[in-house]
Amino acid sequence: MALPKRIIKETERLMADPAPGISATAHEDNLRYFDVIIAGPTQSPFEGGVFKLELFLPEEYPMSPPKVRFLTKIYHPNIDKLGRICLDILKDKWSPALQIRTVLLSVQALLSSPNPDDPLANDVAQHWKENENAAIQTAQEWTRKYATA
Amino acid sequence: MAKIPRNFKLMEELEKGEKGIGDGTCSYGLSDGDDIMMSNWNGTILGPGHTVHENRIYSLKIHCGPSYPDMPPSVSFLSRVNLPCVNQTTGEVDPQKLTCLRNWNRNYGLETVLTDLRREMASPNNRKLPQPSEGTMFN
Amino acid sequence: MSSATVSDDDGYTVTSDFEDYHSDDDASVDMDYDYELTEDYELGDEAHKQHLKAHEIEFRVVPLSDILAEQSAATTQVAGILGLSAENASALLRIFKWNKEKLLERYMESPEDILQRAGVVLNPVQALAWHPPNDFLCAICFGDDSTGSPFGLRCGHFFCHACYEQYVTQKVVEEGECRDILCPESGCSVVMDEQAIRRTVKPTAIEKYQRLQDRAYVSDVDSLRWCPAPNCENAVECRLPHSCFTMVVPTVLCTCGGKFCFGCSLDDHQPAPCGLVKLWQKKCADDSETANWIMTHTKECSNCQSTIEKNGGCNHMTCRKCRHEFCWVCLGSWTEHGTNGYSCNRFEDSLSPDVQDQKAKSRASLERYLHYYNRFTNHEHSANLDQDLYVQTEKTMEDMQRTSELSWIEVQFLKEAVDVLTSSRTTLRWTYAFAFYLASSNQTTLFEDNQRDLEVAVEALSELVEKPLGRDNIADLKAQVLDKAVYVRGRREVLLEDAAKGLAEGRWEFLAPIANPAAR
Repeated sequence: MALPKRIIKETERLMADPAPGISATAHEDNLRYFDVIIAGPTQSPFEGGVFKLELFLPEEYPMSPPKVRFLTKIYHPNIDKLGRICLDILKDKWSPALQIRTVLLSVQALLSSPNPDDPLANDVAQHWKENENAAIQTAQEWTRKYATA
Repeated sequence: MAKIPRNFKLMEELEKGEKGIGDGTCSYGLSDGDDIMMSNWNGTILGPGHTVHENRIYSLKIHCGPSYPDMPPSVSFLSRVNLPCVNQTTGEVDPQKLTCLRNWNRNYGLETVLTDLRREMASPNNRKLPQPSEGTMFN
Repeated sequence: MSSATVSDDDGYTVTSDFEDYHSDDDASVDMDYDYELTEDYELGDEAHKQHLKAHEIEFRVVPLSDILAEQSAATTQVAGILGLSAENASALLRIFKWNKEKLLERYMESPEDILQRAGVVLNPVQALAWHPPNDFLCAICFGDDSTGSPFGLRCGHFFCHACYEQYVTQKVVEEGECRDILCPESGCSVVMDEQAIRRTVKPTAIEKYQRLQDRAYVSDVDSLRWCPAPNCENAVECRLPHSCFTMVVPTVLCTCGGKFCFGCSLDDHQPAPCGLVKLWQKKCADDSETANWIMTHTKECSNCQSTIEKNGGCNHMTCRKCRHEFCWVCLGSWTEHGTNGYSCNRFEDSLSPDVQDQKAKSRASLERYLHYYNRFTNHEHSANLDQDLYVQTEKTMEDMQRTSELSWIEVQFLKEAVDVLTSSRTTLRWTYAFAFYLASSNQTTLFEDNQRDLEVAVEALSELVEKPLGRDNIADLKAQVLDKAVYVRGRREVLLEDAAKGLAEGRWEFLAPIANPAAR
């Protein structure tokens, strides 16, 4: 089946006018499947890291949210060991007026402001709450170890 | 129809498996919860009732390669079992001898494989096959 | 043999007195619960109340048509008082869970707040934005096709009509949402009112929307619950406060024949309270693999070890090979059953108190669990077999009818007996979950005695029902079965009554804290 006009336009715009620190490239053999790279935001424990993600637009998109996952290991209270992300706009707060670009910007913002009160990775969240400095240090180590291109 | 990529398909299967599938007679999960590529899985099959397998619990390992689900996974029994589709030295399931592996399509999944194997155990030809003693493993 | 008691005030009121066709004995049980009733709980007429036993509650079956009528009456009333349209009145009622008094009170205080919370805009001119911006571009499909007549709520976010339709249809049809359908714009909290929904979707989706609204009414109102039986469109009303569901097991019977718990909507689980059922189910889900594993060895004759397949509901087994008679559940000799020595239902704690070894302890705890679990599942299994047997017997009877002058009606007593067996086995099942969590005391001995008496009676009845029917013995068998069925029913009453009173009086001491899952 032909790709909806919306997906084609979104892809074109992502190529023509990429958001700062974010790139998304569609697979040639599956135009709903994107390789994503997000640069760790400055002033965050992930600064200097290059994080790989994958994104998939299901059949119901944009009525249903895209599926997004980290492929690079990351120490973050809202991202679990398998790279799954706890972010409201990817679940119940999804709106069909959101786009790939806005989703990826939100993921980038999540890196700048971790939210240990709404955790996905419980042990990391615990660490973050009990000793934020130590947790940030671990996050920096992980960034150096796993997210350096 | 949108073609779901390997990783998102496996993620769906993982989440389904975590919730529990069907009547609980088959189950599966990642063998390493940290494995971001989700390649290696453990499966269990509870032997079907009114057969020689009744009340036995069989352990399996399943490997989903990079071409999954375009290509079927490779499946091996860890627990010893006597079935025509299972190599009696290694425990490997012969893909030519199990219907769902032979006629694989990308809508199938780990659940399909395990329930197909369980059906195989209960088939009239196999239900009374003599079995190795319970609890022994392939090496 | 359901007996519906028709009361003179409000339609038909059914008591859960449904199994008791001989409800002449001990009819006056004092219902002096010490929990508080909700404000709007109306005391039923005393005469009616006198009929209720400790394990019964007052309730009313409400068919779908009555629910719709009640809903529309409340709407009309509020609409009249506040001078609103019916649609707006029901939107307001919804956010107050159909509590009219509370709505009216709050509305008088600050109508603006309430209207906004319900997404109601009184002036229809304000409800919708009329003109899309000149540079309209739909943020959903990225189309700028102005022929598609864009649609927007008062927030001024416009999307094309086709996208709106798809959005609302998905919410209603796929997600079953009928409240809180917001403007599709991200972060916008303007609620789509009924009028906007009707304007955007096709009639089939509107129909679904209406059905969802009706269903939502029942889940909003605390005193209503849907009958969980598939295809049953009745609800049941029970005005007991939910906070008392740790002290009473609110079992109700729908006119469709389904018996369920008002507290948790699961099938009848008397005498166990909802919280205990929840704990038990979780435990069984966690431990069932182990349990399955261990149950393997219970399939051999305890005398000659030949394999035994259970083919009837009765637990009295006779080995075809060696004629050894034993109990399927405990594998003990049957001669000890049904007499004074019967103790199959009681877990014998044979470990001495100074056994400290952790392994032995956990093994003992597993054995203790398996003791109760096996008996729990066995009664379920047996009940199914009893049913099968009835179906078989019914066939036999049909055959006999063709060859003799016996009529089908004469086998009805078997159906009745199987019904008694089924409900008693259900009760027995849950007595094992109940006993598993019960701390040992003098009270528990009494409970276990009741359990044993019921179990012995059930097995005796089950055995009678299994006897082959013939023209010669039918009259005799019928007398015996009916007699036994009355007795079983009586034993079940005694057990439920004692368990329910104990619960209401706080007489039982449980080994785990029993929560109240119904409390909202």
